Amino acid sequence: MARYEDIFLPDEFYYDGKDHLWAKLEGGSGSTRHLVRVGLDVFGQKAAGTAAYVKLLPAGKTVAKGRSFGSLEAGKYIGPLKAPVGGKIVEVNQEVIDNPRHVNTDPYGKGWFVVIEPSNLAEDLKDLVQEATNVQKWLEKEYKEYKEKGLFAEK
Amino acid sequence: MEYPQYFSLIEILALLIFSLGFCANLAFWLRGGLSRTREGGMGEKLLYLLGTLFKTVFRRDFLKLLSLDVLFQRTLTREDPTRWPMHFPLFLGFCILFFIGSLGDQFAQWGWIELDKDTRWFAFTNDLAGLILLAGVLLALHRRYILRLPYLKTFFEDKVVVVLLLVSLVSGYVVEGLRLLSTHSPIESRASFVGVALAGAFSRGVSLYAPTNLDWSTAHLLVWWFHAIVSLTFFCYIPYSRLFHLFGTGLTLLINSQNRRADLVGADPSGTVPNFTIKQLIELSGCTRCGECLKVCETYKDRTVDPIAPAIKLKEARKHLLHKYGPDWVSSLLGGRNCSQQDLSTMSEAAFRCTLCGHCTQVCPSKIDLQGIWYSLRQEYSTALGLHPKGFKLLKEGVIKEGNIFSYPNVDRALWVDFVGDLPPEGIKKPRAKVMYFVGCVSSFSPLAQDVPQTFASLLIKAGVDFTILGPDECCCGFPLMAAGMKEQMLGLIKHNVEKVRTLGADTIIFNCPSCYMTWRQEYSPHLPGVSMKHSTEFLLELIREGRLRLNPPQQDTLKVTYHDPCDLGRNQGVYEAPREVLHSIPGLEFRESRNQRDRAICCGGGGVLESADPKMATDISYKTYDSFRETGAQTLVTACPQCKRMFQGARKHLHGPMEVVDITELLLRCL
Repeated sequence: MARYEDIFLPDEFYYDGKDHLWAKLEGGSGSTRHLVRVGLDVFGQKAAGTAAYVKLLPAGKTVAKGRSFGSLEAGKYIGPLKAPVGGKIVEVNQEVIDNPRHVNTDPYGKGWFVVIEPSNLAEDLKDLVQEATNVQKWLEKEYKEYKEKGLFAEK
Repeated sequence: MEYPQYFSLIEILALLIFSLGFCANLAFWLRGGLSRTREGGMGEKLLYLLGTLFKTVFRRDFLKLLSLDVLFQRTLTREDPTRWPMHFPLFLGFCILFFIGSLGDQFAQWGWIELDKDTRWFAFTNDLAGLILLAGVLLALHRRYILRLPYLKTFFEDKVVVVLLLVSLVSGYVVEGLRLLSTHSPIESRASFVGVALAGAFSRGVSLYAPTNLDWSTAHLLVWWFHAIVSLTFFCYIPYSRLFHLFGTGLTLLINSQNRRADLVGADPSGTVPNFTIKQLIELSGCTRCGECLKVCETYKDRTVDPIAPAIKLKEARKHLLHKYGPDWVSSLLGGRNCSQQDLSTMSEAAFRCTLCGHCTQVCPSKIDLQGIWYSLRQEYSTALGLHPKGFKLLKEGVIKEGNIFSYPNVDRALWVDFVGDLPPEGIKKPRAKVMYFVGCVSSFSPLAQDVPQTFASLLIKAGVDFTILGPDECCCGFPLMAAGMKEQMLGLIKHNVEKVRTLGADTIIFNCPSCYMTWRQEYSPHLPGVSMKHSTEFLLELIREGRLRLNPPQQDTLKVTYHDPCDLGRNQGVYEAPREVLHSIPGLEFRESRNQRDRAICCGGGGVLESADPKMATDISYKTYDSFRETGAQTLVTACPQCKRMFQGARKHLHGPMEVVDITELLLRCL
């Protein structure tokens, strides 16, 4: 687990370095038939503030990497949620739509957004932050930058 | 009685003091700009002022305006039926006493007219006018001190005015009574009926309690001097107090009788043009502090603190501007104030606690364009003084750097399109099209509002409209900057968006967002001659009338709906009928009009970038407004603005409200 100040990031996840969405590989073996669960990391939710509304594309829709699979309205953020990997949405978390606070209270658990069946996983994973050391380094750098710019939402 | 010779000198002195005050007000007015984009020289300003008056006087309906609005004050009856019976007697009594009583007497002294104080009609008219005025004063005192109407704010100068008026009035009657006694002639047949009654009372009182050889002439002279000094003090006080609304309100009523908002158009790139126009500085003198604006101001009702009250904002702004615009002698004479940083911060906070809904402008009996003044005030505090809510810095940076209010990369502006179910293969972003759909920031990014562009785009596709969006090429219209008092930053946005429209060759632009629509109509249209701008409801109504959208009942049972008029669509643009006609064209729909409809609509709380300045206040207002629709018994609250929808969705969730909230486009899509 990568930790810095009050932020913690599971180091087995992949992270979108800009938008702070996490991608967790599930199922399959090797690189075949993986599913990717997607959510917002602690860092992202602290910057966004209290989540008020989540809108997600329905299951069955396909989404390209970097395109919107949904959008989020929180205290300090209103905007799209961009897919860290491209593919078909196979599951949507109705619970987080009904209760967006899960994004803040349980970002790696009940706060997930969608499960994507990736179409080009190996390629899409390349530019995501991964592996414990890289995640730790990235976390520290990002934290300092956010703190300096005052980008964390006030409690 | 012959006036003492040196009294003329006192009168001349009073006239000089009055004239000095009048000229000071005039000098202050002339410190304003000719328009929002041009200050102009002093000669031009005088010409403008004279020209405006000239144009007004030669208007076809001038006499009607002068008699009904200015003299008869019919605008007072519109909002509060109890106000006219108080104010009109004040005005009428004062005018008669001044123009007939005082001037008539003066002209008679100079020998210009044949008249004396015992001339029957003159004596009767004066006494009657005094009673009329007294009735007005008593009613005013009753409203202010007995009923203690919460929207009436009382200041020291108000008390001075009432005291001077009452003392002048009562002493005037006493003077007349003593004059009658001092003439030693039968007084019962005189026409000054109040004077006769008082003379009788004095005579009886003196015979009972005082020596009978009292010299009535001396008593008369003494009280006359007292009355004359008090009356002249009142006269001198007019231009230095809110009594100057006698001129300010009259002028405002005449100037604003047709188009109150003409001076809002345009932005000053140099930042050197005064934030206030001559017209607006006149309007500041036209406020009577009647309190009608307080009654309808949702932000004031939410907090009920004085600085937020619209009338108080005007009063404080005038003091600040008097000091700022000067010259020093004007500021000193008229009560200008060198506000401390703390004062300015309070005034700035108050200026941004406002939804810019325009309801105050709607109800103002003096027809002051308060909304225009709010924009100018924000410009003053935000840009000129650098005093604005913290969040505005981010908003401005977002708009300037990214082209949207959320500071999100604008390249992602059209990601909402991925949610449109029935997209044509060529997509909806085209290189050329006759119809351009300007989506706006809130609709583009907010998950609570994205349903609006998605359903509207679906409707356009189903109706076979050849349209395009600008997608990542679309930049914020600039309304949030205008509302944040950073209007000069808009010019780049206007230039960018206008160029895109020209490149597309579009002749029609359609909008979901009423604020975008209003901004384009006011600020962009001069750059796009021949381009038609329509709100989605107006455009959809055309499609329905042309038979391009065939509507079915939305559900099996009758659906009861009510409609919320968005401020920037209804009150501020006058679009009331199109959304209603669209709703009426849906079969199986029962439309239930709300009490707060059309120009009486209450803001959703999301206007005027209030959310950035005071989110709690914005949501509090949204709860109240959502709640106000419950009495209609409707199942669905329909609106025609993405921001209103956002706010009401939030309110519904918070209040667990029974009415679903939909945009009119969503309802229409359900009916296809």
